[in-house]
Amino acid sequence: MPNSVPLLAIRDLRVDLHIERDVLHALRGVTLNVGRGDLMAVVGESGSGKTMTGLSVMRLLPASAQITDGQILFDGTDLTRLQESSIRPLRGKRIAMIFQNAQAALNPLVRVGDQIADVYTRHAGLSRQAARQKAVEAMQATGIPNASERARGYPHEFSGGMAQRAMIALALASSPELLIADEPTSGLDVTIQGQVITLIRDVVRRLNTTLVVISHDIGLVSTICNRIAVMYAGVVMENGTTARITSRPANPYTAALLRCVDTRPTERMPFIPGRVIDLRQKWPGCPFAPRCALAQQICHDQAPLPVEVEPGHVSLCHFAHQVFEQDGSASYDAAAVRN
Amino acid sequence: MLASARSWGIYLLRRLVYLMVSLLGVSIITFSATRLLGNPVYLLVGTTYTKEMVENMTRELGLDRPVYEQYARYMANLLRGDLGQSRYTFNPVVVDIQRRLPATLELATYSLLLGALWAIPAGALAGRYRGSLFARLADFIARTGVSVPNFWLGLILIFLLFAAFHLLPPPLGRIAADASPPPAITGWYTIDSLLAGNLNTLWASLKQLVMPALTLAFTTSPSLFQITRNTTEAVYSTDYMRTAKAFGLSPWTITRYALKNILVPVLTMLAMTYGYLIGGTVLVEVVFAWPGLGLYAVDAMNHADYEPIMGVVLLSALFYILVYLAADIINSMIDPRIRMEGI
Amino acid sequence: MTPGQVSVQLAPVLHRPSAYQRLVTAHGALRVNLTLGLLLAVIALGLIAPLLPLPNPIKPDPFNSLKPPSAEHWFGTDPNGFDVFSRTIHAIRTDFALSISSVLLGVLIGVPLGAISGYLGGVIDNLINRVSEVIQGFPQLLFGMAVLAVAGNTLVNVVLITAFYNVPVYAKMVRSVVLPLRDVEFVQAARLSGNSPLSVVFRHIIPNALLPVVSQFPLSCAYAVQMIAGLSFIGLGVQIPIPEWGAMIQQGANYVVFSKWWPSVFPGLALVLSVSLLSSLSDQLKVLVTRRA
Repeated sequence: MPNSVPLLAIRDLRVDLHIERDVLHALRGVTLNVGRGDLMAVVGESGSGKTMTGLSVMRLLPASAQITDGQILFDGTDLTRLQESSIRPLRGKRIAMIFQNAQAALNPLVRVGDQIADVYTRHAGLSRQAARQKAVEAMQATGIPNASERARGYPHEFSGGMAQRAMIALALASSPELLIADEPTSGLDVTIQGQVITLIRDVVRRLNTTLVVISHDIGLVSTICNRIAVMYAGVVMENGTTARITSRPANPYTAALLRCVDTRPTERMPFIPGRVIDLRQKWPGCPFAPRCALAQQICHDQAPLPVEVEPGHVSLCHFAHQVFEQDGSASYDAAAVRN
Repeated sequence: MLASARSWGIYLLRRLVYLMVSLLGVSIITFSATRLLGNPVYLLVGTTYTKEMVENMTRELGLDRPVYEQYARYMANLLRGDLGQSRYTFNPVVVDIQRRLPATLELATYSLLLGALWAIPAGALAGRYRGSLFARLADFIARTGVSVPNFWLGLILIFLLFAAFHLLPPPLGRIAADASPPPAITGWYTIDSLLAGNLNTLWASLKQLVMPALTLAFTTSPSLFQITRNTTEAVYSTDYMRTAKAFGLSPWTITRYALKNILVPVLTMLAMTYGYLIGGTVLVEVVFAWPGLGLYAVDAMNHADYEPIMGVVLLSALFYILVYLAADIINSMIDPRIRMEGI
Repeated sequence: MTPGQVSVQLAPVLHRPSAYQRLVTAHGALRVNLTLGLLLAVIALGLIAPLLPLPNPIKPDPFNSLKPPSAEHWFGTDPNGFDVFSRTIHAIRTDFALSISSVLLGVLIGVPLGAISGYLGGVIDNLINRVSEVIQGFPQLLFGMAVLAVAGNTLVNVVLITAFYNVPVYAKMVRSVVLPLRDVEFVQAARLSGNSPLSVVFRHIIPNALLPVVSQFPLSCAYAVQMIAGLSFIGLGVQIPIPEWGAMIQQGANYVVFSKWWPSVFPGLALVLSVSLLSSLSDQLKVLVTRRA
């Protein structure tokens, strides 16, 4: 439920990524509000900038990436302005992040239980003994069988799903105000994915933590999240409650995305033609214009401004109202497929 | 827990088998070299010989027997510790080696320590702060170390530190001419001096060690530097280090997390360097008149006496294999994944 | 355009950059040109050495021994009266010829060996592997001494033993290239069209291994030069009066304590220069290997 002062407010965030001799404009003005208690999903294809956004909040961007403009306001403080020494006390204590491919994201040479215990020692000030005990409890809470034995094991002895549970146990141990989960279910068996995402919701509820889940699977995250932000090519295309976005999108990209995941039988398999824009270029207009069925000249020439089609539902499109009125999917069907 | 103990046991067994195979391989190569490349009879019989002498010697050495029988005899001798006889010291090679080993061991160990003292911290820093001035400087030093011949470097040091600036004593072996070595317990002058409480001798021995050890350290540390640097850089850019950072662990914990992962390849390289040093001091021993195994082998060579050289080769190979095995075992204790891998 | 068809915009056909261009892109023109230029200059100098107006490098002049560097003798003279500068230049021929031929021999044996080993797999592969590993753990200089003591102290033997040490390096390298390629399509196609296994290996697989071999070659030459110089230093291999850097260093070695540094220092500098140029070149060439994919 929306709160007066958002816990996390990202304003026009721009990030450049330097690869070899090229500069990729990975984030091109991301604006996003996350209220206390929200379970926010940030969805998009690969390359949309969703992981970059998460890393920017944590200030864990690789050395080749730089925040060039914008603000990240966490509880009023602009994280982009802080020195590393001021950010460090926040990490793990107030904001935490868990990653995909948990087996690789855990230290292969440290016992899993010890890694969780280290978080307890650091942030809860517990003794080594107490921390170890709490670590086992945390592992039990995340559904790892034989937790006390498993705690003495190493990450390579864990299956993908179990390693992800261990990762979530790390989040339990740190008990942050804001938890960012970067693609927590990718790479896992489909049957496990549902379990893991539900586990995350339960943990977050139990800790009273605000959650931001980054994923490309809009269907999966909509089962637990109350709000969705759809990203494309470094900007947030649409932002609103799960219910409204999935039933009444106000952005052609969102509509197209939803059609692709729609499991109802159709005549032919839906897809979005064309390719993502070259992130090395600065595009004056809407980034989705080259692939959008509704695109007009203005879409190529001028960047769209955010339009609030209804309270709490914002879309970045010149024709947001039209898309919203026409109930999304229908309008996309009618338009001719563009080259 | 039982499962991991068992897997470790299997691993150790595998490594020991591997050790045996390697030793076998080494002995085959040395055997082939002596028996098949030249005719040892003519090497042993000297410059004036009669047909009878040749025949006798051939029979004595068992060279008229089939190859596999010769090899069996060779192996039997090796296992008994019989490495042959030196023709110019008139001692059994084993005895000579026993006498000379401490000198080489002492030199090799100090060289390794000196090299590691520089290379590992420098490598870690260079790996952390890639592109920094320090990293580039250290890299330059490493590149120089690889390109410089150790015997030449030794001479340069002698010229600068002794001949030109008189900072160190003349390179005449392990201790100055006017001093006497400490009573032999380990054979290491430095340790024995300490044990005897004789600080003067200790000081004298150390002064003699400086130049040869520095030479060897400079030329063998580059590989240590590079592996430390590359591993440090790789480790710090892993996902798991990012996780540790993301959970705000203390700088010390993060360092500890990293060090564990950096340790394994570095330890392996340390072992390889140490193993190399035992056989690799030859030229430096010649330059500094250091009475170790290397000089022993060179003297033997100058007397057309090949058995001592082979003995030293075998010992060096054995040492290398053992040190490597030790490092492997230590690594398997640090990294549980190693126990699961094959040979 | 029928519905469902996606038009693909083809990227313009790029002119494939030459190896030299790729080197320059990766390392910068200065570094590449400096390395190649100096190396070629050194080799050229060695090649034309007999034609240069240098004092006779093998004619001893006992009255002129151990003279310090001067206008007449740029690098001074050694204990035998030889002009050090002249000998240093002439030694380029000796050292480079010996090292290049050793490594070449090692490559010629090692590459097919590694290819066969990787291709055939099984027991042969295992055996060659184990033997390679054992050889690489051997004390090279010591064993070289032993072999030369037993088989005779000749230049040919020096080249042979140095080549021997290079065989496992290249066998291993080629094997690691061959292994993943074994079942790749074009190899299977070649097999199916009736080529014998041997010709498959030689005509289809080995060309893929050439690039890593070429990039490693200068580095092996650098090691070979060091080994040959080391052996000469203790009197093995090259004999007086043939000019060779290691031997020259040895000739001047006893006089360093008397501050007569020039007979040993200059040849050493030449060694250092050659080795660093060769290893630098190898380093730069490595880039060509990784970009290939």
